[in-house]
Amino acid sequence: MKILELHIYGYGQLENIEITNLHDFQVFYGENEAGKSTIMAFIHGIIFGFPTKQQTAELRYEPKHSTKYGGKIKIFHENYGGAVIERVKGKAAGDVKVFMDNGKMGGEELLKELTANFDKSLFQSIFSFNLQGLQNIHQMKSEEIGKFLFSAGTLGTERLSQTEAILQKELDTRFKPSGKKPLLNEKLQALHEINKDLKIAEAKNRDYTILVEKKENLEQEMNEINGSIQAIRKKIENLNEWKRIESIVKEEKWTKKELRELGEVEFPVRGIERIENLNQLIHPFNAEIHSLAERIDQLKEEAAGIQPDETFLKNEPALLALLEQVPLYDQLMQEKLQCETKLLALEEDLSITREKLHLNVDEEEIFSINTNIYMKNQVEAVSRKNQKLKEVKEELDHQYQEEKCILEELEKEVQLAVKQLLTKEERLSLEEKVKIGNDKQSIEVEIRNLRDKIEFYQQVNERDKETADRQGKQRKIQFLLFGMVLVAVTLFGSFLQQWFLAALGILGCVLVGIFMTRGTKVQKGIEVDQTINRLREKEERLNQKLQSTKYMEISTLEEQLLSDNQRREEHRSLNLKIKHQQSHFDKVIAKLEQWELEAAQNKEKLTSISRELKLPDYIAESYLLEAFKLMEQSKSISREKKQLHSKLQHIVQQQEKIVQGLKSFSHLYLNEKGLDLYNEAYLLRNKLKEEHSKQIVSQERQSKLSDLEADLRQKTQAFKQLQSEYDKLISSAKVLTEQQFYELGAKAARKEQLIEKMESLQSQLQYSILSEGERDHFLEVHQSEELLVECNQHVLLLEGKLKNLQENHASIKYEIQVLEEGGVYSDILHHYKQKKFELEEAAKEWTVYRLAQDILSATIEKYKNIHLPRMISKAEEYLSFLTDGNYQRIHLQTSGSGFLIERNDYTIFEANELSQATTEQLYVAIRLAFAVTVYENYQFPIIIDDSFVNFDAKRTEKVLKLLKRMDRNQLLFFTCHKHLLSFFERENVLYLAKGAVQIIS
Amino acid sequence: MKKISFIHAADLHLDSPMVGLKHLPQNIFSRVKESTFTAIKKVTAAAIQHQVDFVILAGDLFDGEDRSLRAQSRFRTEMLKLAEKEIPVYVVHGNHDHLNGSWVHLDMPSNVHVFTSEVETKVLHTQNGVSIHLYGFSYPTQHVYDRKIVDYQKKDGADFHIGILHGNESTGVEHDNYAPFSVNELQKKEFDYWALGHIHKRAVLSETPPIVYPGNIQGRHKKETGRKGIYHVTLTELDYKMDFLETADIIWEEIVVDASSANNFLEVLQLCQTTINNARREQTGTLLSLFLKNLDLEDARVQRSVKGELLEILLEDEKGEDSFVWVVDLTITEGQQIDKEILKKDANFYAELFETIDHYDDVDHALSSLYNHPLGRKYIEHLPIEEQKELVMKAEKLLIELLYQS
Repeated sequence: MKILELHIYGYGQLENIEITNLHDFQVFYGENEAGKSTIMAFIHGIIFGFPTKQQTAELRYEPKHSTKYGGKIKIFHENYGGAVIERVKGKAAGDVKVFMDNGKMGGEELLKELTANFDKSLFQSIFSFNLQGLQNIHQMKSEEIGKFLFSAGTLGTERLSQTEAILQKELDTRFKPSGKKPLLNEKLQALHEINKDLKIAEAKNRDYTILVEKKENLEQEMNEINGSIQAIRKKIENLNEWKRIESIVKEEKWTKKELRELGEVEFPVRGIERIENLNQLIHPFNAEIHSLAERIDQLKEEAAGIQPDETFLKNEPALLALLEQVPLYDQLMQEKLQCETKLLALEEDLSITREKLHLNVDEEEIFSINTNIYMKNQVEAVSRKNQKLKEVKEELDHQYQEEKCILEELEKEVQLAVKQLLTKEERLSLEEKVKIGNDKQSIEVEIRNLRDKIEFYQQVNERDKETADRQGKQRKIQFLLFGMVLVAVTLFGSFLQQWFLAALGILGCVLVGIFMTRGTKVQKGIEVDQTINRLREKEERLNQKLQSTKYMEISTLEEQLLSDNQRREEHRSLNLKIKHQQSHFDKVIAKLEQWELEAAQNKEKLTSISRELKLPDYIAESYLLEAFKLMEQSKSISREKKQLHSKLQHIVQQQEKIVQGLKSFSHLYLNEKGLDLYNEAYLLRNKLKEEHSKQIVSQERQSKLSDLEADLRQKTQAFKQLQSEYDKLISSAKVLTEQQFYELGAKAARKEQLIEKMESLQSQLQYSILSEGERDHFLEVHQSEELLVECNQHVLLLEGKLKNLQENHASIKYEIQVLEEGGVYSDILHHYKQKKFELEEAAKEWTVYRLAQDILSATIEKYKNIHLPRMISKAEEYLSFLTDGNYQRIHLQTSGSGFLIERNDYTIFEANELSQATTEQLYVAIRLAFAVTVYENYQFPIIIDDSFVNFDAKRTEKVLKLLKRMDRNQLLFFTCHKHLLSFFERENVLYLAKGAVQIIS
Repeated sequence: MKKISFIHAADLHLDSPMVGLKHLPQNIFSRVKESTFTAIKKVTAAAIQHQVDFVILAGDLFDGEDRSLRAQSRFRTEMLKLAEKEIPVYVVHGNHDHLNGSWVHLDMPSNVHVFTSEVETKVLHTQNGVSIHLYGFSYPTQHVYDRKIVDYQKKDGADFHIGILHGNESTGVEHDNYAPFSVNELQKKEFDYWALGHIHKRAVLSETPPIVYPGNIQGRHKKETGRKGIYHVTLTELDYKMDFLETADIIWEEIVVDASSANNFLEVLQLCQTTINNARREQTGTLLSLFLKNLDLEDARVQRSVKGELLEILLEDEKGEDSFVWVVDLTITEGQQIDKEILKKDANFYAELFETIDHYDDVDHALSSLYNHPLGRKYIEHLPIEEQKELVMKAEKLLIELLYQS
């Protein structure tokens, strides 16, 4: 980019000034206040914008007297061509307009394009240098010169070094590896502290398990102590109780002992009382019994005096009966006589009947003969049957005679009929003859059939023969032709000596011959002829048979046979009649036979009855019934007789009995012997009366006695009862005497007393808390008081211990609760996490700075390694040129920024060690080297504001020579030193007059 | 109709400190510290209020190394409340509260049924005479990468079958792949409900049957945003009903606000306050990550004061508030972003700088001075890659600011 023209509308002191036709190396010369700086500022202002009001470091050059602010610059851009940039007063940096030669118009954007986004500071740091820039070097601290140079050389500003410084500062305030103050260090330390607390809390958390365990142990221990306290309290209570009941227990023991000594006493309840009562009852009874016994003895004595004859009185009924029977005795005498007469009459009757029957049996046997109703019935039946049989016999005999006569007549008739019949032989021959006569007709029919058949077969035979002949002829012709061919073949074969053909021909001929002969035979004709012959033979046989039969007179024969048949029929009916009659006759005979059987049976019965009735057979056979009746009669007579006998006997016995009875009584009780019957009876009767009176008196005494005795018995019974009770009482006490009984009674009373006492004692003890076993145990303990004291002390001791444990437990419980609920750990943890986050955030901030620093240094490092060497070699070249080879090499600081300069004697200098002029030379060299190396693409004009005042003439010449070599960039050189003008072409110098710009060409 | 109802909760992380908080006032800090307990109290209260048949806690009841006695004690207190109402609780332990930990164990009441380290079946008969089989296992150690799902075998003889599983759905890669499973696998088991745990974000993986992550009951850092709670599930033979019940006492939120319209500090402040008031929930605390985007203030001093004082002013109002909205993180991004490409053209150095940043991978080395510090090594954890990148970006921004901007 080249600046061709300037048109200042108003800028600082300059107003409405036009400068045209600027050269590639344009020198602006003017004295102080001529407006050189204003023009420089104008150029910067138009291209990069007016300084804003905030940019206090730079002047705004707003005209004091004119309203116009700004102007325009005409440039030529190597890429875009010519353009006019106009900037006038407007918003902050002014309103800009760009008019391109190609007609394009635009504002700030277009301008940026043209200026490749350079801003003023960058432009100034590379392409524009003034005296201040160089002088600043002087003012800078020695070490920073190099840095400044480096930063100016890379970014064109001091930003780099400033940035590095800022970063370092920020980093330092945040963190130092071994610091304490910086933020991160502080935070780390704080976090560390919190972490320690956390660890402690965590450890406490771990203690938790131990605490819980401890708590459980404590609880267990407390339980145990509580248990033992309880036990001891119980013991104390027992001891106190013991104190209360000791005397009672002892008394109880004593009573018990006494009781034991008394031992088991078995004594009836209220024994004494009871025995006394008994005794009181028993004594009166004794007296009464004695008196009664005496009276009874008296009465017994009295009774013995008037004892009646007991045995006599006992026989009184018998005696009385006898006495009554005395008048009966006479009556019996008469009855006896009557019976004897009756008996004699019966004897008579019996003998009569006996005679009638002529029975030779005695009376006893008659009773054994069975004459009961069944027998009577049988007897009647048998005699009736006998009668009937006799009648039947007669009738049967009559029938027999009749039947016999009829039979004999019939037999005679049959014999007659048999004589009229033909013999068997005659009849057979007749029958044969008739039969043959019938056969002839059937034979004739058969012969006719045979003849028809023969005729049929003959016709068939003839027809077959004709056809066979025809076929035979045709075949012969065929065979002949074939034979001839074969012969020809044979001949041909033999002619050509083809033996095979010849042989074939011969074989053919032979075969043809065979076939011909076989074909002429006719078998069928022969078969038919044979059949015809057979049929003819059969016909002949039949004809013979027909002729052999004699022709007789069949009709007569048939008549003979008919009459014979009739006779035979008659004969047969006669035979039947005979048979019939015979059966009648047989029946009669059978009936006779049956009768005989029955007659025999009846007889047998009869005999058996008669034998049973002990009758002779002859009487039985005809007078059985009468005999039987007689028998019955005799039997009843005998029975009557027997009865009379027994009655007689009875009467005799009665008489005997009466006499005997009286005799015995009189013998026993009467003093007088040998008295008659009636006297005896009288005497006995008197005696009886006497004894009766005696008996009545005795009975009176006896009843009285029995009364007394009953009384005595009763009394004695009661006495016995009492006595037994008394005994029982005595025995129940297991003693022998009453004395002992009383002693025992006293003992029992004592025991009862003791038991009562015992009960009262026990009732007192019943509600005591001490069991019997415990009481026994305490009985053995003697120093119960001391024991009580001891126990109380023990309780106090344990209670103290328990209290300690409880306190301990409470504190541990509290600690557990604190751990569980209080959440010290949690609180610290939350706090820790928050602080940690804060730390991390701070660390991140630090990290950003640290990364920026690292990135920056890395970039610088890289920059050093790539871009700087090129720039530095250029700078070296320029420096060497400017210093005439005195300083040839520029080195980069190995760490950080800054340069080292090497003189041609290889001495190394830091920037601040160089002379002022050399430093400025270095500065120029580096600046120019930058412009042509790093920024070689940007062909901005290089603006130099009187920068070489410290140079001597030689150095000035050198630097100007160098500048003239920068042909790629326009050079705008502002100076106030006239002596310098001699170094330039005249046309290149523009003179600025003080007060008003004037172009001096 | 047979019917059961229960509470499904997971990832209680009781008494686990919240991450990402600094300089909290005492009252809010107390709320924060109590938040997990407040949440579990709400869980038990819900169980009692709804008279559920049982409660499922699907793992991570406690927070691993930070399992405090208080956490267990409070938990026990809550379980005793349920025991009083005879509500059984079925617990599996997850990777954070695995069975192999060295922490102190408090005994739990008898209504708390803890599954052992192998998959087992627990049988429950409710008071209504419904029988339920619950299947589950507890982590024996922290790292369980086996496919434990294979061991879940349906056992006949119950009206309902419920699987309890603390694990990661295999396709999800954001979390540790513990006890991995696929939805398909779970569906094949033909259970009536799958009570999952491990993932802190609420998710219903399947409707038939319900396969559910209820999420944790209380958000614990700024990534766990939004409503947190439990499911109250009602199962019948035919269908099911799931009610989400909020339990978190404090909710983490993240709000991005476009601040391009604000021209001065007051407007920015008002914008922020409006945002905060909109985010406020009754009786619930909110921890807010606020992003102010496209802030474009001409005046650099105003911009500085926004960065410096805005947060303080915003927080000042919330200190005494019960339903507080506490801005835990205020990120401001400016509207005008420096064009790196332009910068590169400006000066080669920038090109080099960006080049360096693009290939910058030696963060640890740069930070070694802090990490090698005896305390730094102990308390400052190495940064994850994403965060490293983020910080590098911040460093870049810082450098640009320092180098470029006046």
